[in-house]
Amino acid sequence: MLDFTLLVQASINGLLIGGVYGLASLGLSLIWGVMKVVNLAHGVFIMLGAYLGYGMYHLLGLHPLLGMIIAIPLGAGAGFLSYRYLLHRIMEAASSELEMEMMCLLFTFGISIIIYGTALNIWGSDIRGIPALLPTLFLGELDVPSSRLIAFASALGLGLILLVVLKKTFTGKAIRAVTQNRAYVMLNSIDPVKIYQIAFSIGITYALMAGVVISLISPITPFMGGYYLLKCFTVVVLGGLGNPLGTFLGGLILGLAESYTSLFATYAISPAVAFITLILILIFRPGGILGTLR
Amino acid sequence: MTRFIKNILCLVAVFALVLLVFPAVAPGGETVKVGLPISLTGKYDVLGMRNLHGAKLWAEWVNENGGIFVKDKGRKLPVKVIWYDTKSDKDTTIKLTEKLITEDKVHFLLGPYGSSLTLASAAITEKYGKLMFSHSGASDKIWKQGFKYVIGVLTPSSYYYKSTMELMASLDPPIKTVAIITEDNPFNLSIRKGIKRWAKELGFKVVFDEVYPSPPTDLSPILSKVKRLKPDAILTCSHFKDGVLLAKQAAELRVYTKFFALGSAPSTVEWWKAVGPKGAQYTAATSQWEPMDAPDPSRFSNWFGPSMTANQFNAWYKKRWGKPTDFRGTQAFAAGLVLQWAIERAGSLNTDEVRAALNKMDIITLYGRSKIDPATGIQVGHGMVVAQWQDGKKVVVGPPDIAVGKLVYPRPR
Repeated sequence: MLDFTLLVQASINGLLIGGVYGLASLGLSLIWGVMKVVNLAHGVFIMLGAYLGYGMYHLLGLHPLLGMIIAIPLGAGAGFLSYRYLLHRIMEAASSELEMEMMCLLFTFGISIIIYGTALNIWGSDIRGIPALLPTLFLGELDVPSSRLIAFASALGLGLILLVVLKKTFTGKAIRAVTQNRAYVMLNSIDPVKIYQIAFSIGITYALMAGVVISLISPITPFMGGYYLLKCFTVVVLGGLGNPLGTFLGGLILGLAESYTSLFATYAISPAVAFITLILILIFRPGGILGTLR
Repeated sequence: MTRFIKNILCLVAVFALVLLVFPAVAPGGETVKVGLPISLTGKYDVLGMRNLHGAKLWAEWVNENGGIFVKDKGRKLPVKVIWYDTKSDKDTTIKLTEKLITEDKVHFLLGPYGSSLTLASAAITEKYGKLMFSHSGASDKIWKQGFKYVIGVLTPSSYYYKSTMELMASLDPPIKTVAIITEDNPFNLSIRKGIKRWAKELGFKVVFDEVYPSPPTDLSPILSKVKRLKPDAILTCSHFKDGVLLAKQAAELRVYTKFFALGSAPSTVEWWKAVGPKGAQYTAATSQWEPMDAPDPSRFSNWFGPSMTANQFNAWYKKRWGKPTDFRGTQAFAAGLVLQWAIERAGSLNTDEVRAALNKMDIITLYGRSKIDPATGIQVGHGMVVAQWQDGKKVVVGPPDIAVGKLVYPRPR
C-alpha cells in the first residue's frame, strides 16, 4: 500500500536535494559545453566553497551564504589566472581536438590533486559542519528542513541568473555563439579566447558558490569534492552540456530518482537507478534532456 | 708521530665509528624493537597521530621503569618503537611493513590505522611469522583469514552494539521495535550483523533494516521512511561523517525515537559542534574507551600497567602531547601493554612463545579487560562503553558497573 504522505514527503526530499545537485553541476556544465573541457577540478572547487561557508559561520560569525560575496571575486580571479596562464597554453599547444581534450583532462586532474592535497594539509581530515540555523517548517505531517529550502532557493536563483546572463547579455550571447561555431564568431571580431576566459571564470565561481550553499546541508571534509563530482557528471549528461535549464532539470531528476528509489525499493540501489536513468536518456536523447544550449 | 701511534688512533677511530653506527651490537645495547606503520599524512592523519602518540607514550613509560623483563636474557630490555608514515595508503603500508620486518628487524609490530590497512599489513606479518597487535582494525574480517599471529586489542565490529543493546533491554518503558540504518561497506555491514544477532537474543523486533550507498549526500529518503514506522529506537552503523549527516537530518525531519544511537560516531569529541545542539542532544554512542573515573586499579588483582583510571591517563597524555586523546591513543598504548605482558609472561622474545603466553591472558588495564580467543587471536574480553551526549557533554551511561551518569530515557521530544 502506498502511503500518500510519504509519497509527498519523498517528492519534497527529492526536489530539495535535486536543486542542490543542479546548482553543483552548473559550472561543470558550462565549461564542458562551451570549451569542451571536462573540468575534473570542479569537485575541489565545490569543496573550497564549502570551507568558505564554514569559515564565514565559525570564524566570522556571519551567515554562511555571505561566503558568496567572497566566492565571486575569488572564483573570477582563480578562473582568470588558471585559464590565462595555464589552461590556455595547454589548449593552444594541442595539435588536435582529441589531444586537447586529453591534456585538459590531465591538467584539471592535476589541479584537483594539488588543491585537495593542500586542503588536507591545511585543514586535516577533520569533519566539520554547520548546525541547522533555522527551525524546520512543518506543513501538517510534512517536514521541510529550512536549510535545504534555503539551499534549494539559492540554487534556483543562481540558476536563473546564469540563464539570464547567457540569454540576454552580449557576453552571454557570445558564449553561446562560441559553443556553436568558433570560426564564425571570430569573423564578428569577438575573441574566442576572451570568451573562454569568461566562461571558465563563471564556471569556477559557480562551483565555489555551490560549495557555499552545500556547506549549509552537508558535513565538510577535503574529500567531499569527489562525491559531488560524481553526481555532477550524471546531472550534466542527463541535462545536456552547457544548458543551465537542462542541467538544473537533470539535478531534479537525479534527486527525485534517488528519493523514489528509496520509497519503492531500497535506498541501497539508488546509484544503480541513477545510472540506468542516465543510460536510458543517452539511448533515447543522446544530447541530454534539453540538449546543448543553442 | 710514530707510525705505531697513528695505527692505534686509526683503530680507535674505526671502532668508535662502528659503535656509532651499530649501537645495537655493542654489549648491553639490546632492545625490544617494535614496528609501527602508521598514518601521519593522508586520510587518517589526525587519527593515526593519536595512535603514534599512544605507542610512544607506552615506550617512554616502559623505559622510565627500566624496560621489559625478559627472563631468558636475565634482565630488563628497553623498548624502541620504530615508525614510518604510511600516507594512509595501502601499498605504502604493505611496503613499510615489509621494510620494518626485513630491514629494521623488528621483533613485534603494532598495526596500522583502520581495518583495511590492518588487513593489508597482516598479510605481510603473517607471511614472515611476526606477531602484530591490531589496535585500530576492528573488522571481524581480520580474524576470519586464518591468520595465527594477529592479536586483537579492541572489541571487534560485530560486538560494537552488544553492551548498548543490553542496556536497552533494561529500560522502562521497554524498547520493543528497532530500526537499523547501515552504510554500505564491509565494516559497517559487520556491525549490522551483530545488531541483528543481539536483537534476536534480547527480543527486539527489527522493523526497518536498510543499507544506504556510500558516500551519501542526502539521507532524507531513508529517514522519512523510518519516521513513518515510529520505531522505539534507531541504531545506525556509519562513520563519523555519515553520522553527522544522519543526526542533523533526523532532527530536521523530526524523526523522534525514544533512543537514538549512532555507533561510534558520537564518541568523537567534535560531534556536538559538527551536528549542532539540536541534533546532538541525547544521542548515544558506543565507544571502545571513554575518559572516565574508571576502571579502578585497586579493585582488580589482575591489573597490569600504570595504575590509573581512564581520566588520569587522558590527563597524562594531554600533559605529554598538549592535546587530550580519544580511544585511538589509548588503544595503541594498550596494545603496547598487551605485548609487554606477553613478553614478560613468556620470558622470551620468541614469537611462538609470546603467542602461546597470550592464550592465557586475562588482564585489566586502563583500557579495560583484555582476553583473546586462543584459536584466532580475536579480542573477546574488552567491552564497549555506552555514552550519551547531555547538554554538550559526553556522559558515560553504561555498562552499569562503570556508568557515571544516568541515561536520559526516553529522549525528551
